[in-house]
Amino acid sequence: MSLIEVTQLAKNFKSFHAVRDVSFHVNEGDVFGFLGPNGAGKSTTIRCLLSLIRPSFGEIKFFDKSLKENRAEVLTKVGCIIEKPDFYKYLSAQRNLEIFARISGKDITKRQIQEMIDFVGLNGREGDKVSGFSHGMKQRLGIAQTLLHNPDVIILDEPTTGLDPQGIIEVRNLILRLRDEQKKTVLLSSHQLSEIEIIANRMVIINQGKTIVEGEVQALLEKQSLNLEITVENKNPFEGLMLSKFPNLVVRNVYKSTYHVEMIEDIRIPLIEALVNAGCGVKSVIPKRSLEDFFIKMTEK
Amino acid sequence: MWWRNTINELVKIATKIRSYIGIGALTLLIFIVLFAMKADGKSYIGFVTASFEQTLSFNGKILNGNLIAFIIMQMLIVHVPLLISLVTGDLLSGEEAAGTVRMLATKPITRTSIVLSKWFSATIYTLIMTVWLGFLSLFVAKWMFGSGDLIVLNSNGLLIIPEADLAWRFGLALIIAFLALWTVATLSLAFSAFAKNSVGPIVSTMAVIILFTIIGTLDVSVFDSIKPYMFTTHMAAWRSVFEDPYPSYEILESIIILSAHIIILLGITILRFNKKDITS
Amino acid sequence: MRLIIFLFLFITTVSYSQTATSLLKGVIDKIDLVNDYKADVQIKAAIPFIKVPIAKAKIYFKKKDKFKVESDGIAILPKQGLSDLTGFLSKESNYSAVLGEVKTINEHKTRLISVLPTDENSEIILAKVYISPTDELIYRTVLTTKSSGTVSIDYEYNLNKKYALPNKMTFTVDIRKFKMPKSVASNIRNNDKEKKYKENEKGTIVLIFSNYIVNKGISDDVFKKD
Repeated sequence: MSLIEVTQLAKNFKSFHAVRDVSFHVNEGDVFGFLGPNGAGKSTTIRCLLSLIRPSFGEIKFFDKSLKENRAEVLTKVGCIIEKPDFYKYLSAQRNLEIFARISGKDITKRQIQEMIDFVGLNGREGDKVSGFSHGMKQRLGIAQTLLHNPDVIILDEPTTGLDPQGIIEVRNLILRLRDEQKKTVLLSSHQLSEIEIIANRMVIINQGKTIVEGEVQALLEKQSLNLEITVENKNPFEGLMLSKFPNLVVRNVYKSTYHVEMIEDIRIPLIEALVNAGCGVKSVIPKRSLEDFFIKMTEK
Repeated sequence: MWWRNTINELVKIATKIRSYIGIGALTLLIFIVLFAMKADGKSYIGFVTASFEQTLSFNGKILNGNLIAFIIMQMLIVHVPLLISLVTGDLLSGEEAAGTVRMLATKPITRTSIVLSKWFSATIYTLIMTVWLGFLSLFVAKWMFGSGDLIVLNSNGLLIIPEADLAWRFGLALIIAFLALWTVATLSLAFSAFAKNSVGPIVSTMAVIILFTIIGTLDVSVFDSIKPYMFTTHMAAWRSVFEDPYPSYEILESIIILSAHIIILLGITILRFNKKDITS
Repeated sequence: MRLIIFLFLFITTVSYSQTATSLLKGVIDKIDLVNDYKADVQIKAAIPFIKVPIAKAKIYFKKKDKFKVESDGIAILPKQGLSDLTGFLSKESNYSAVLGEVKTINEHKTRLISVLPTDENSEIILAKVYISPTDELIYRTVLTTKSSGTVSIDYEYNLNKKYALPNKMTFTVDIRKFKMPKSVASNIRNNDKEKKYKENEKGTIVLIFSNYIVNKGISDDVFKKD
């Protein structure tokens, strides 16, 4: 069942078309990657989903109910972090959670708040003012605020921004736990494509305000061509060989003597043999079928 | 849900330092007046009664708590509105500046409810300021200066109101004064809905008050048609309570005009906040 | 012949002067009987541009010139004519008196005595005192002073005639010198109902005395300033 359904969403800011035609759906239990380059319209789309921005056109449904007509009921079941979570700096962590708990649409006890504080690892700091919190602590408090009312759908916009590697791992593990243990549905927008590749099962890529591709992550990656990252000692014979013997291959010089070679058919063996015979001095050959490459390919068009 | 958010708003106001700046400044201002009147109140009285003292002598306790209370309430015209807008002008724009408006607007509470709860908490803050002003000016002044008849200089002349006739007048005056300040609070909240930081609404509110006050005092016929409808014209309506006979029609008119301003400004705030795209 | 006319005029003038002085003396003798008194007074003022309710006060007097008004509320009293006139009249050397017309005031036949101060620095420029020869009481005074203009005072008596203490005094004051000051904090609302006062408009203050307690002793502490 689709928990989130976005149909032909568009948003114009005066003469600027931030979102032109975005459509996708998120199934129950998905960890859904929402991807796009900077300026693609991701933030605008997410804000439309959360009723921060009023769409110019299109429809948004949650739990098969129109967001416009059932806003309060829908948002009772949705939790979110948009960019960095902002809190009332002059209040303590506990007080902040109490404030958001009061308007969450559910009755949340002080005990539940304390349990959530413990869950995100802020026990002992609940009485401290948020103004003294580090970025990581604020992020944890943001997660606590998101989960406090036990939502069915969680929307996370760049949740790992500014976090150290340990923090990123913690967020990743949390999302996986939410999916596996608590059966939550997560919509995740992130520039950490490697993270999306690990944890997301479905995704959509948008660019210039439009949906480019939507589907299962693995299925989409498998459909794309095999890439090789080849590093050689001698650039000139390599480039000459590729042009003369393998003109159908797409070759990109990514760094000094490192190249990406894109092939539809798997012709690694004849290619490597040719490179060795041509005296290119092959140093490494790394096969790639990554989300990053897929993303770049989709958004370059 | 709006009531729950009102509790939130009251918690926020109660924990912000700027809320106490307003109350503290008001307290300090009043005590400065009390001290000044204690030190040299007689020369102030002399200024009021100077024109009559060639032929008449004024006996009795002219400098008493009731007169001091009346003098303090004159401050309602400029000083207290500024102190109130310090808090109420921050209610919406402060959330935008801090980024917390995102967290607030993604909750299952309508934007109208958000505005209403902020407006209601602004009302309570204004009420607290008014009651505090009334307490300091009436009770503390009476404690320091004693009680007595009130001598008032109006445009019609000098009026002496017996002490027994003052309680209800001061009560009604404070109610009307609260209405005037409530209008200022609603105005600054309305400005707050259009701004992304607190400075704009506060400065705009004071600018409007000063500008309208100047227009109200200019003796130019081109402004005569709009003066009766400007809220600043009615901000001093509480003084009419201290006339004899007191002009009930004019007072009622002022109450209606101020109430109309509150309703219209609140409507504008709700409309603006509902239509706003939150992109911060 | 001329000598006879001169002597006649001289004797007449001297006898008239003696009558004015003796009339005043009659009043002063009564006033002198009072060492001290206190009384309740009700003050009703009707003065243009001033609205004041009826005030109640207590008046204290002690020879020679101690005078105090004590009121719970604010009371407006005339500056001149309340206590200063009797003190002025009690010293013969302060003035010269000239007998004038006969006038009926409130059914009392009175004789005008014009009192001119001898001291050019005196606050009183001229006092016209209307005294009844029958009961040796003042029924009207018209006082012209340097600072306060002209004040007219009518007297009525009841129980304390022997002390020349009136039960009612009606002051009529001249308000032509009044200037309405701008309000200390002016009304934002322009009140275009401002009245313009006429030149030579009058105001009245009526004092009704009761419960006189005369010569029972009053402590000097009563007259100390608060």
